[in-house]
Amino acid sequence: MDRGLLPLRPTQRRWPILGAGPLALVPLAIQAILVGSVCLGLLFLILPALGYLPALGKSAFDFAPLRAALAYPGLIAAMIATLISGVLATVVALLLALGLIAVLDPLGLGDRGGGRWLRRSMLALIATPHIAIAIGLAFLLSPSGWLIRIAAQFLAIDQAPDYLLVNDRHGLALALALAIKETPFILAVALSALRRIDAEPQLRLCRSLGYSASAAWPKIVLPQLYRLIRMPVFAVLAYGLSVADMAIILGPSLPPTLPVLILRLIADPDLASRLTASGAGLLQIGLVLAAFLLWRGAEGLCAWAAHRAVTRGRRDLPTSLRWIARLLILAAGVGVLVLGLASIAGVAVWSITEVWRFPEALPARFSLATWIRVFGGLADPLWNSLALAFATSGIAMVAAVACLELEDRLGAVAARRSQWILFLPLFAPEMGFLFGLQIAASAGGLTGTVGAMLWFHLLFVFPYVFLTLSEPWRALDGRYARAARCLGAGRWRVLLRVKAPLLRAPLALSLAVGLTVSLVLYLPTVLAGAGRITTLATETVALYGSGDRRVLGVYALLQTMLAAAIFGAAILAGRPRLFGRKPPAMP
Amino acid sequence: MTADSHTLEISNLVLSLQGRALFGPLSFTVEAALPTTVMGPSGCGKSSLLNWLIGMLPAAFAAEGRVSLDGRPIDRLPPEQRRLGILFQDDLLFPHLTVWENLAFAIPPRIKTRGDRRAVATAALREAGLVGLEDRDPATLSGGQRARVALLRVLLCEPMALLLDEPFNKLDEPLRRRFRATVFETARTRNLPVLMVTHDPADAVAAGGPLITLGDASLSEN
Repeated sequence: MDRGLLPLRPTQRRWPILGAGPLALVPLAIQAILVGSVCLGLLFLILPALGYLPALGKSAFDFAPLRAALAYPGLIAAMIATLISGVLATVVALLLALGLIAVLDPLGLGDRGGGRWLRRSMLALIATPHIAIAIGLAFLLSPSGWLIRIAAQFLAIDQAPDYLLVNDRHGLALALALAIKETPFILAVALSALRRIDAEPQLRLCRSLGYSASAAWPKIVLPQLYRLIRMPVFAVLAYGLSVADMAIILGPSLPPTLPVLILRLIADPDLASRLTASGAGLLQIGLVLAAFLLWRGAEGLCAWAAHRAVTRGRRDLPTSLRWIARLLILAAGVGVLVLGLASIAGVAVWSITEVWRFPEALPARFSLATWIRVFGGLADPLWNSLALAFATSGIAMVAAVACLELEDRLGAVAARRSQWILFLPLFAPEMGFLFGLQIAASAGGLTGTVGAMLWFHLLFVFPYVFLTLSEPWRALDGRYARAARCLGAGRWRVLLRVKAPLLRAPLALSLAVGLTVSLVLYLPTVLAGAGRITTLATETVALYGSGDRRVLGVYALLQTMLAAAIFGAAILAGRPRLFGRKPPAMP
Repeated sequence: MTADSHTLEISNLVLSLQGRALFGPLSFTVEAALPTTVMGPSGCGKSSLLNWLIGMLPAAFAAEGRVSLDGRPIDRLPPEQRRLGILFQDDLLFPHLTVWENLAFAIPPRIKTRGDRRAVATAALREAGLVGLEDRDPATLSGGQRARVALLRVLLCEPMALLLDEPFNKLDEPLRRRFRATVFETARTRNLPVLMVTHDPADAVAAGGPLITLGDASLSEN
C-alpha cells in the first residue's frame, strides 16, 4: 500500500478511486448498501402498492391497494394529523433554534452567563432519547399528569379533569414533543454552521454602514446560515412525518398518524391488509414529497421577501417588535428547555414511586421495588440493544474513517461529489422505504435475524456517524500528515499515529452518536426484528399499552442514563492523554 | 457630492492590551485634503486603532481618549451612528446578495421606493465604470470589480470620513495601483478625511499625507 513519498495525489484518471487499492472498496460498499437499500425498499413498496405481489398470486398492475388504502377508515384524517404534527414541529424547532441564535449571537451573549447556560442545557437535551421525552411529556400533560397535580396544590382540583392534551386529534402534543427534541438538534447544527460563515467581520461592516446589531443579523447572517442548514432541516421534516414511536405515545389514536396506521396494518395477520399497507406506504411517500415541495415553496417565498427587505435600507427594527420577538423567543426557549427537563424528571420520579395518589404533587413513598421487579425482564432487551449498538457503530466508524481517509488520499473532490448519497436514508420517507425493505428482507427469509438488524440499523447509524466525524476530520490541518510523511511515515502509520490521536475527541464523539442513534431506533428495529428480536426501544413502546407508569419510568430513565453515560464516557475519552497538554485547537 | 470638508480629530488616545499600553497618548487631526497613514509592525495596535474608531474594539483591549468628527465627539456613540465608512482587507461583499442588493443595503433609507433605490445604485455603478453589473452575483466579478463595488457601497452610505484597513493588501500590483488612485481621488472630490492603516510604504507614498509610525510602545511622528 505504501508507495513512498512521491504520489501525494495519484495521477489524473477517469476513475481515480480505482487507484486507491482495497481501501476504496469500503466507501463503494457503504454507498452501494445505502443506495441499494433505499431503492430496494422503494421498489418493494411500490410494486405491491400497484397490485403486483406474486406471493399473493397477484401479478397484474392495478390501483386496488391504493384504492383500498384511501377507502380505509380514517386514512385522510391520519394523513392530515401526520402533516400537521410533522410540519408544525419542524417550523417551531427551526424558528426557535434560529431565533435563539439571533437573540444571543449579535449581542455576544452566546458565550456568557445565561446565554451560555441556555445553550449548554439545550445541547444536553440532544442526548436525551426521544422516547424518554415522549413518555415524560405524556406523564406531564395527561389529565392526571404532573402539571395538573401541581396546579391542584393551588386550585381546588380533586379529580382528573376531562381534557385531551395528549393524543389530541391534530397531533399537537406530538408536534410539541418533536419540537422539544428537534430544537436542540437544529441549534447544534446551526451553531456549527455559524462558525463556517465568519459572520463577525460582516457584522462589523454592517454596523459601520449604520445598521444596529439586531437588524444586521437577520438581514445578513441568517440567510447565509439557513443555506448551510437546509439539508438537516429537510431531514428533520422527513423524520417528523415518519416517526412512529413518539406518535404511538403522544399522537392521536383513532385514527393514529399515518406511520402508526401502517404499522398496525402490517401487524394485521390478514394478508389483504398488507396490500392496503403498501398502498398506505405509497401515500406516505407522497405525503413526504408533498411536504418537501411545500417547504421548498415556503423557502422561495421567504427568500423573495428577504431580498425585498434587504434592499430597503431600514437600519433598525422597530423597538417594540424587537422586544416582543426577544421575549417570545427567550420564553419559548426556556419553555422548551423546562418541558424537556421536566419530562426527564417525571420519568425519574415515576421510576422510584411506590405510592402517588392523584392530587398530590409528589409521591407519598419512594422505593426501588419497580427497578428490582423489572430487572429480570430487562436483561434480554438490554443486551440486544447494547450488542446491536456496538456492532453497528463499530462498522459505521470503520466505514466512515475509510471514506474520509480515502478522501484525503484521492483529493477531496472525487469523493465529495457523491457524498449526498451517504445521507440518503435520512431524507427518504422512512416508513415507506423501510416497509418495502422489510417485504424484500422477508422474501429472502432475513427478517428476525441479526443480519437484518445490523443492516437496517446501519442505514441510520452510518449517516449520523459520518456527519459527526466528517467536519472535524476535514478541518484537521493537512500539514501534520504531510510533515509526518516527510519524516518517513507510511500512510497507515500517519493514520494511526498522527490523525487518530489528533482526532481523538471527534472520534469518541461520533462513536457516542452512533451508539445512541442505534439505541433509540424504533421503526427499523421493529421491522427488521419482526417481533423476534426485542430491544429496549421496542420493549418500551410495547409496554406503553400496559399504562404502568412505574415500569415505563424505569425503561425511559434507563435509556436516558445509558445515553448520558455514553456521552459522558465520550467526553472523558476525548480528553488529551497527557496531563498539562492542551488538545490541538479544533476549528 | 458634499461640498463641506470634514475633519476627524483624535486626542490623547492610549490603547492597551490586557493592561499593557500598546501606544499613546496619541493625538492627531485628519484633514480632508491630506490622507493620513498609520504604519507599524504587526501587533503594534494599528488595526485596533481603527476598530476603536468604529466603536468595535474587542473586549481584550482597553482604550482611553476622544475622537470627534467636525468638532462633534463621537466616541460615546454606538458604531452605527458614527458615520465612519471603512474598507477592510477583504471586500466583504455579501455572498448571498447580488451587486445591486449589496449597494442597496448601504443606500440611506430616506430614498424610499425600490425604483429610486435601484436608480441610485445604477447611477453609482455607471459613474464607476461598472455598467450592467447590477444583477450579477459578486462571486462572478473580477478582483478589481469587487474592490470598486465595495468602495461604492461604503460611499453610498454617505460617510463623513473614510477609514482604510489595508484594503489594497490582497490585490495584485497593477490593480492595486489603480484602485489606490481611485480611492484617494474619490475621497478628494468628496472632501472626506482619510485615515489609512498599512504596512506597505508604497501606500503611504501614494496617500501623500502625514505618516504616523507606531511600534515598540514608542511613537514617532513625522
